[in-house]
Order: sequence, then C-alpha cells, then structure tokens
Amino acid sequence: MADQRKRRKRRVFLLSSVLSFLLSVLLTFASYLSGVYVGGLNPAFILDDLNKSGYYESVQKYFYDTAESLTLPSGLPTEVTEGIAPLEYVYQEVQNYVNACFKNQDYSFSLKTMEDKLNANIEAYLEEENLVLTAEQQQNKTDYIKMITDEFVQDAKVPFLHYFVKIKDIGVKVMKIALPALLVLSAACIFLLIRMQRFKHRGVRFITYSTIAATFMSGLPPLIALLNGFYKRINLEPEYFYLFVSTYIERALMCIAIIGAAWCVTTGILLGVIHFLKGRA
Amino acid sequence: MAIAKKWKRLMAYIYMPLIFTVIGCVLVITALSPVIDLTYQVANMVVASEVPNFARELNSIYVEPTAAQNDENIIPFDSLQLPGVGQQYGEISCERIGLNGPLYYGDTNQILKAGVGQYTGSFFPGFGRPLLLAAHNTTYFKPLQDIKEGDVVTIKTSYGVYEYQVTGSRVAHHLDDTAYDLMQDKEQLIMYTCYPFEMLVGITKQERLFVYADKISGPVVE
Repeated sequence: MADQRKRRKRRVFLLSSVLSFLLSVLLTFASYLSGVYVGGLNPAFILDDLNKSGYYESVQKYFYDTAESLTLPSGLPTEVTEGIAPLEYVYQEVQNYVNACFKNQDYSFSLKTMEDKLNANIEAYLEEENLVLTAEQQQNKTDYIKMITDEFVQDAKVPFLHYFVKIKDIGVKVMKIALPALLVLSAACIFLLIRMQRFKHRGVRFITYSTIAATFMSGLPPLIALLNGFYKRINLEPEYFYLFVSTYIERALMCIAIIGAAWCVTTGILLGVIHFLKGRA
Repeated sequence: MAIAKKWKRLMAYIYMPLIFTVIGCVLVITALSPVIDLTYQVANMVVASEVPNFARELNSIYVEPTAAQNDENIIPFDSLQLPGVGQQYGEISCERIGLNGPLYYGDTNQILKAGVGQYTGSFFPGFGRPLLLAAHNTTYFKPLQDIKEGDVVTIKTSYGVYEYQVTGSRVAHHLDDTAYDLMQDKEQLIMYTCYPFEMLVGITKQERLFVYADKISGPVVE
C-alpha cells in the first residue's frame, strides 16, 4: 500500500515537472513575443527612438556635410547651402515620411522651400560677385539644385523602414494567433498542475518553478546583451542610422528584460499564495 | 527531519527552475543549430570590437624631414611610421603653379575638404609603385589647370623629400580605368581632379583631369 502510494506520488511529481517545464517554455515564448511586439515592432517607439537618438540633428549635420562636398566641385562657395535645411524642416519631413511608411503610403518630400532658399543664396552670391551666368550655367544651376535636393531626400529617408513595416505586419498576424494560443496552453498547464495535486499549494509550487525558469530564460539573455552592449558596437553608417538602430535594439531588449522582471514579481506573489494556502491546509 | 524536508523544498525553488532553464536552452540551441553558425558569422561581420568613432578628427604624423634624412638613399621599411586613414603624412607642392597643400592618407569627403588625399589602394612615396592623389578642383588642385609638362611636383614626408616631373595630362571619364595603372612597376605620381574648372560648368563633373609625373629624386624604401 505504502509502495503504491510512493509510486503514485513519484508519477505525479514527474508529470507535474514535465507540465511545469512546458509552462516555463510557454511563458518564455510569450515573453519574447510580447517583448518584440511591444518594444521592437511598435511604431510609437520608432518615432520615440528617432527623437531620443538625436536622429534629426544627425540627419541635418550629415546632409550639410554632404551638400558641402557636392558644392565644392561646382565652383560655388559652400556658403550657398547655409540655412537650406533648418532643423524644424528636417524634423517635419522625416516625421511625414515615417508616418507615410507606417500607412504603407508613398511620400513626396516638399522640397520647394529648400529649392527657393538655395536658389536665393546662389543669386545673392552671383549679385555680390557681379557674375552673369550663361545659358549652360543656368541649366547647370538647376541641375545643381536638383542634385542637392535629391541628396536631402536620400538622407531623410529612414533606411530599411519599408522592410520594418512589412515585418511589423507579419508580426501583428503572428501575435494574433500565437499569443492567444500560448495563453490557452499555459492556462491548461496551470489547471492540470493544480488539479493533479492533492493540496493546491503543491500545484502552485510547480507553477512557481515555471515562473522562476521563465524569469531566467526571458530575463537573463536580454540582460546579458544589455550589459555586453554589442548593439553599441554595430558597424553602421552614417552616424544617424547607427544611433537609431542601437537605440532601437536597446529598447527592444529592455522590453523583454522588463517582462522577465515581471515574472520575478509574479514569483513573489505566488510564494505569498503558497504561504497562504499552506496556512489554510 | 522536518528541517531537512523544508531545506529540500527550498532548494527545489533553485534546482528545478535551473534544470528547466538548462533543458530549455539545450532544446533551443538544438532547434536553431542550423542557423546559429550563420548568425554568429554575420554578427561577427556587423559587430565590431569597439564602439565606432564617428568624430574621426583628422590628425597628423608629419614632421619636416631633417637634412640627414634627405641625404639618405635607402630607408629601411621597419623604420617607417605608416599613416592611418585621415592622418596627414606629408606636404605636396609645385611652386610654379602655386600648388601647396597637406597630404593625407585616404580620400574621404572630410579629407578632401582639408587637403590632398591619397587613394588607399595606391602606394606611398619611395615604394617604387604608383601614387594616386585627389583633391577638389576649386581648392587644393585648382592650380592643376595651369600645370605643364616638365613642371616639378615635390612631396615632403617625414622620411624624405620626393620630386616628380610632369610627363603629361589627359581628361577622362571618372569611370575610365585606363586613365591610371596602379599595377605598373614604376613610381608614377598620378594627380586627378574634377574637370572642367569653371564654376557651374559640367555640373555633374563626370570628367577628371589626370596629371602624370615620374619620380626624379627621393630615397627608396626597402
């Protein structure tokens, strides 16, 4: 009789352990999915990352630098590019472009102001130097202005944003199916764990093992990555793109680590529940 | 007995999750093993060992060569301090046309704003192989529009002074790779700049003026 009881107890322990392990895997998957969705595929965070990483200032700096290099061979003084892309203008255009991308729309940059300012600067220089352009030079001036505005369009576009939007759309579809499925399976595991044990607190104990394991599996890898700071050593150019990508990865890792920490808090609550249930038993 | 049981239960909160974590990691690693290697290799290409430095201030290792250095005919390679990209290692001049500027290793936009840049795929003076230099046609290489056959171009480096005599020039498309030969066994100085020189003429500046000069003096690096 005692032998049979011992064997049954062992069987229940083994089955509970398997279910508990399964639950920890499900919780970890749910953590990563939610972390990537909230931290990595969130359009609001993308815009926030652009603000926090000094993206607009860097785009402006990079554009002026390139415009200067494009102006030098033309024979015009580099001063003609001064003030053609104020920060508010860069900010507005990048924001409009990003928002259009999120809506899967094309965006035409409004370049009229920049063209007018550049033209006015060139005219002012020519007047100051008493220079009159030939018909060929007039045409080349138009080409030069186009070259500069094309450069701005190229610099203001956030690289890979179209790919990001495509990945986000796939991510949303995956989330809609995977997250409810993970929750249902987790609930089933929890139900079985509690039903299988004679005392409820024993079932909760196995759930606690799962939440601790989920804390390790979902919290430690992003924490190690954050401490290691590999994303700060990513070789990307220009600087503004590097800043954006490193801030973006940091944010996504932070979100997963926070979810890992949430499992730690859950563990604390479950330990309290065990204590309470034990007192009642 | 009761204490031992309690201790065992407490320890279970550590070893059970640890066992789950280890099994979970092993399962994930096994499942992802076909892509782990590839991911690791790609990551190694993208992630550097240090945080990238975007400031990249230009600096200089150039010091005027001494009279004793000028008299030497052979310089041992070991004694040279070779520059990194963005470092000034010499000065280039041609008195007759008023060409004068710092010589940098590399030809980035930043370098070309600061002076004359050397294409990193070409050789340093004294190495007996071609030397390809570029600068803007409106700044440091503007005087090239007046250069003539027979003019002498001087390059001063920390290890010696080199002179090159102009042998000719030609205008070629910027993609025309017959305009220069970096594989030749001759120390030829090749200078190029955007062409034409006039303001707002040929705005896309597809053409380049190439000036060729052969070495006439300077120590040999061995």
